[in-house]
Amino acid sequence: MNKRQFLVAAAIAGIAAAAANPALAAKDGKEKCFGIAKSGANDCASSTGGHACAGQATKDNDPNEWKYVAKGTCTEMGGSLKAGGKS
Amino acid sequence: MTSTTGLAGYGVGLRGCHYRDFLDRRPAVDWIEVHSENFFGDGGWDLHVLDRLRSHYPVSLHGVGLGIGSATAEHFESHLARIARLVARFEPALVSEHLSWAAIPGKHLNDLLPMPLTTEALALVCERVERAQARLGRQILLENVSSHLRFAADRLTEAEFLERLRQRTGCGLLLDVNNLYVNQCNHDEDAVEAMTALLSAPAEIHLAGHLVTEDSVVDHHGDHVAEPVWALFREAVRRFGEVPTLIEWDTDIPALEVLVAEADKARDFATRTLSADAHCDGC
Amino acid sequence: MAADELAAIQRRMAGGLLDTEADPVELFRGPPAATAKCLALYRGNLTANWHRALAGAYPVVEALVGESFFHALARRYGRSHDYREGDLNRFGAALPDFLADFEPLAGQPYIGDVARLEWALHVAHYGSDAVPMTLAELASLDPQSLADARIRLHPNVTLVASAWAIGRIWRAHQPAATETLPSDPRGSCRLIVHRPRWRAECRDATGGEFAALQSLAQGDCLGDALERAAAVQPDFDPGDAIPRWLEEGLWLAATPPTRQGERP
Repeated sequence: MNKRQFLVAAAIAGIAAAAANPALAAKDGKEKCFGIAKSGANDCASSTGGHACAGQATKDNDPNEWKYVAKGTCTEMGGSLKAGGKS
Repeated sequence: MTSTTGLAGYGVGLRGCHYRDFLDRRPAVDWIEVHSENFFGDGGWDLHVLDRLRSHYPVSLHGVGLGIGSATAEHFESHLARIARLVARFEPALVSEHLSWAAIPGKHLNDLLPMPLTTEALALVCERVERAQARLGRQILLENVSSHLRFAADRLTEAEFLERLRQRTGCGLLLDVNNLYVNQCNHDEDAVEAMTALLSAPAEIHLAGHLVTEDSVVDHHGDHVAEPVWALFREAVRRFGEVPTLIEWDTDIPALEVLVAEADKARDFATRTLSADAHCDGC
Repeated sequence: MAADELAAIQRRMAGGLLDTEADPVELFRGPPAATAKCLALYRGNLTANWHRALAGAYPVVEALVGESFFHALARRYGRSHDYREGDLNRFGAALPDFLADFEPLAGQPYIGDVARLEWALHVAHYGSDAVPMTLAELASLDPQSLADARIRLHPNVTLVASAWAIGRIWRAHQPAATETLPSDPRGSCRLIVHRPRWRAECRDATGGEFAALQSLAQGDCLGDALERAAAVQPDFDPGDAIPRWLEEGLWLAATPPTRQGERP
């Protein structure tokens, strides 16, 4: 028996054994939905953040003017990995 | 083109955070409305929930992304095809869009931008509404939007624009009373006068909260319906009778009970307004 | 005003919303200073819509860089990326590629791969409800044909490999996470994204599993896929792996070999 035949035989045996196991074979889609908190992004409300954004928006055309530093959980992993990185 | 809706009473916008409440408790609202684009996927939880709820509540599909007044038609047919797929699947009682534009060639801005209110823009929107109604095989409603700006080129009021659109295309009107109020504040447009320009009842009314800021009133859908908007709603009921009415809440969405209570409040307002008027007629 | 003038007004307004240097105040009624403020409100609204759309798909990327960085990123992406659809749920599709060239995150190169993972989960969330193949269906096929069968993976399945520990990073950001963030993002991983019923999930794959599923996704027959798996992972056991894949709904269908395609 070559490697391929061995693998396929193992597959067939495994499939047959699992299919014969009622606990596994009968296991099918329960409504697994707890914790789905995703809401669609489309709505028709106007943002109240407009004021804050308006001020920030004025100087955003030149890549050199990027003045934001990544200050989230990435700092817990050592911040910047780049030698001489500026974070 | 028929305009029978099979929908009446007081509804709330169905949002993701309330799916579980709706599935488990079936709150007592007369109908629900969803944003069509949030159901554009091939499958998944949102479509599944709507599938289950549609047997308990009449559904209204409210589009926010078609940008029916965009001069470019680049995105129009493909977007309409997605809406058509939803209409075929859910057989909604109402299908609505906004009187707004959203796209330029090569770019969609994904916002409800105000239309220049000109006769030429009217011609374009009429043509688009007719295409949409032909494609969907049914009437659609167009909603008045709130805006921060009015164009120098404007020659019509938004209400006149919508009334002409309705006459020419047989579309329906979705009257957002909060938007009327916001525009009254932002542009000195008399909201009651706007209602006077409407020759017949809208097919649907929207109510929502707004936010007063220094520069403009913002239609943020993040609060209770404000007192002056309730006053305008009573005025609308006086003029048009009872119209299917929806509470919209999209920002800082509270517990579902709060929305349901707001819908009940709208029902009470309408009932009391109509019975007070009937009483007066008799005296 | 002719129809092309309507187009011109919309182009100029859009230009003003996408470029803060251009304030087409003359298009509007009212005093220019007030108009400029209102244009800024619309500009802010676009950014807020972009931010919300991206935050919905990329909650872990947002947590990694922080909210204000993410907000500015959303604005930069929204302005520079020519999105053409009226559905914001698809807005983030190009973000992983955008991040790959995004200089301000050059020091956090793993974030692009986290984004690829999150997008695969997002796509799976809205993906097909097609019923996956069951174990019973597979067991009913002729065992002789199995080696040469082609397997179609379920459309919600995505295989994500990374040179970074993105699986751990992602899991550490989940509600009720049992894992903490690694102190160093280095360390490769291979992940299977799928959606059992309604909730999109991802799990670590062994080298063998990953190689086999990748091979199947490329259209290889099952026998070839298993050989590929065994080549990268000598102890790979298809008798364990295949029932598990079926239980997880990773397979959509199996096509038995056609007569011409049969091995001699």
